[in-house]
Amino acid sequence: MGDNPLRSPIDRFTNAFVSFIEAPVIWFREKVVEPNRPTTYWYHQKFRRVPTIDECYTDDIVCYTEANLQYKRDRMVESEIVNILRQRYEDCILYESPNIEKCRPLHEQYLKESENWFIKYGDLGAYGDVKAAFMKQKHRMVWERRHGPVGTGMRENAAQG
Amino acid sequence: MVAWSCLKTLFRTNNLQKYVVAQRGPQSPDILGHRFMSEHRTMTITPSRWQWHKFKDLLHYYLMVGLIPVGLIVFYANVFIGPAQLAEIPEGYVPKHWEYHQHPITRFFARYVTRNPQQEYEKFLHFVYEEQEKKQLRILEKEIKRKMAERHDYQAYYYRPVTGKYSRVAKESADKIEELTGN
Repeated sequence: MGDNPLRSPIDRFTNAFVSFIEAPVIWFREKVVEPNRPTTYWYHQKFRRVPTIDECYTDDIVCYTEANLQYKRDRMVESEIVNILRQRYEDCILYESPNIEKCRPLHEQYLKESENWFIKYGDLGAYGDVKAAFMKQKHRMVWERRHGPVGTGMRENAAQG
Repeated sequence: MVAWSCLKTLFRTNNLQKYVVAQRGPQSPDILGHRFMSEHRTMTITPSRWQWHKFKDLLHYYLMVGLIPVGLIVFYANVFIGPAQLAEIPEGYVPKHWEYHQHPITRFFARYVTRNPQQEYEKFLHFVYEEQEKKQLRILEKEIKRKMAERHDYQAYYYRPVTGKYSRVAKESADKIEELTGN
């Protein structure tokens, strides 16, 4: 953890002991392994964007399949994003406790993002495909047209639409 | 097979007779596990060492054929080839499908053993398209049959789709045979 001079003799002893074991390994790697290796590269795959389900004809199964696979990929990516935000919030709590007021913006960001995730992907069941997600969006929009924004309650006489 | 063992009684002879003459002394032949079966050779009766031999056998098998070759391959792949470094995709370059993996053994398998995912994706889309076409044809056929059953106004019920080609060929060969052999 940094290049501070080691103060205690125990630290110096453990350091010496550990480097006694590690030194041959480090020597082997730097002298034998690394010069003999060819440099090869690997890349992260970038997927092209294909037409989404709202741009497909109803009997176009190829368009639907591509849109479905794109939906699954996007779902995985967005689940990971929500995961990362939650991890950030939890790490902040661990690091900053007991004064956790600093973590409030992270907390709010995580709550908002998980709510958005749930709006888009939640409650679709194990076999929820892109059509189910699309229909969910359509139902939400129709409900909002009749009753106003979600969270303001249902109206008695809903606006016909 | 009980029947075969019945035949043993027919062939059983008193083989021990010839050893009576050669018997050494009044003691029974079982001293120290030795039987006096010939002048020089002895058969020592010991407990079975089969499990020990089998253990050595299996140990050598898993070591020589399993651990050592695989260990050498893994050592070579990790030390002399090493994992690839992550890089941005260069402009205008389409990476091969094995270049999306890091470890050299994974890259080897992706290149030579498993299939190209892009190829499989496109094959899958084609398969799905073909099945959709078949599905639409079957739905259409069912609907037509339903309407014909409902309205009873179409002659197709009595029509069997056949081709005349094979009957023509059969007729021609029958005529030729009649010509050669007579009626």
